[in-house]
Amino acid sequence: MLPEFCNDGNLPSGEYSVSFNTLAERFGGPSPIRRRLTRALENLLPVLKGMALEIYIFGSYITRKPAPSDLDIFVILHEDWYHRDPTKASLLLDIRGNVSQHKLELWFAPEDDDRLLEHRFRTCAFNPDDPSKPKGYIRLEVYDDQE
Amino acid sequence: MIKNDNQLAQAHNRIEELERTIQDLYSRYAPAEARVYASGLEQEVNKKRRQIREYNELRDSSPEEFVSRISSEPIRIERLGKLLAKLRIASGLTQAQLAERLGWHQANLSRFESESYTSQTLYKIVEYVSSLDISLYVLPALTEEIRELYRDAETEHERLEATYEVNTHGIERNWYEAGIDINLEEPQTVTSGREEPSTASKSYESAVALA
Repeated sequence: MLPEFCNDGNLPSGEYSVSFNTLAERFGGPSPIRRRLTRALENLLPVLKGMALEIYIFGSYITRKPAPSDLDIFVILHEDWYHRDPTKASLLLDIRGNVSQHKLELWFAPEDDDRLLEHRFRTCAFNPDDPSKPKGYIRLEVYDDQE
Repeated sequence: MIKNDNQLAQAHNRIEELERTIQDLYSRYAPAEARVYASGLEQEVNKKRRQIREYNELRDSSPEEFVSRISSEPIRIERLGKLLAKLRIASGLTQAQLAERLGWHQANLSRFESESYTSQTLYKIVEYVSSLDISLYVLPALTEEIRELYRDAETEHERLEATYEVNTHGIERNWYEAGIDINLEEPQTVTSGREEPSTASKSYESAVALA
């Protein structure tokens, strides 16, 4: 269950775990851009599921904005999938480039890099223009045992 | 968007922090892998740099220059808060100074300029822009055809001619479409007891496309 927005249009500070359907129900419309972003995310999820330990959604898509410019996705990569293989790096860059055409912005971090994870979570949880202002972000329940 | 000096300082700090993180990534990972993790961060650095440049340019310009510059750029209605903030910065006022002039609390003015704040009233918007000596007009949005006419207008005379064309033939030629335009006009000089449109006054048209 997602809470109402704060006065500034963001979700209240905190992490909210929801399924894709709950996310789409709340943020997937009514504007055409919201519908397009949600459809693009739905198409991308099967690809991400194979490599991700966790998937987070943050930024303007999960605010009150009627027409967000993009959809930010933070993916924590599963070490079992990644194994520091350079060919995987070029695959990730390709995916990132391809989905950016659909206004999806992908951010990756390996699961064992605490420094980078901490940095990314701060970006998810605070206003980028004013780091003193916390905001909510979403953890997508993409695996059966999370739903 | 950067709206005050405090946010300007935060933007500089953020760039430093991001650059440190990027450097750290390249020192710990092979270049191909570092690129994967750093690409989003580099994008954010560029965005912050653009915001800083925009803020400094606004501070160095006058309201007239700013209004003139945006005259051919579409402004979406949901970005009205940003437009107001830009007008304030170009007028050389801080949020505190304008809040004092308006008799508002600074926190309220800051919220008012926020893109995601949805409680602006028309009255408050008029009050805000009037305090900067600027008038805001709302008109039906124009089709691409007439926007071109404005874009091509290089002189004040051509802009006035385009306005005349729109006013005279806009409806019959189906130049209007769903949406609104914002028209910014400098205050007109009143030279006598009778209010007359000043020939020196400038009129600017700026299309606002509804998404």
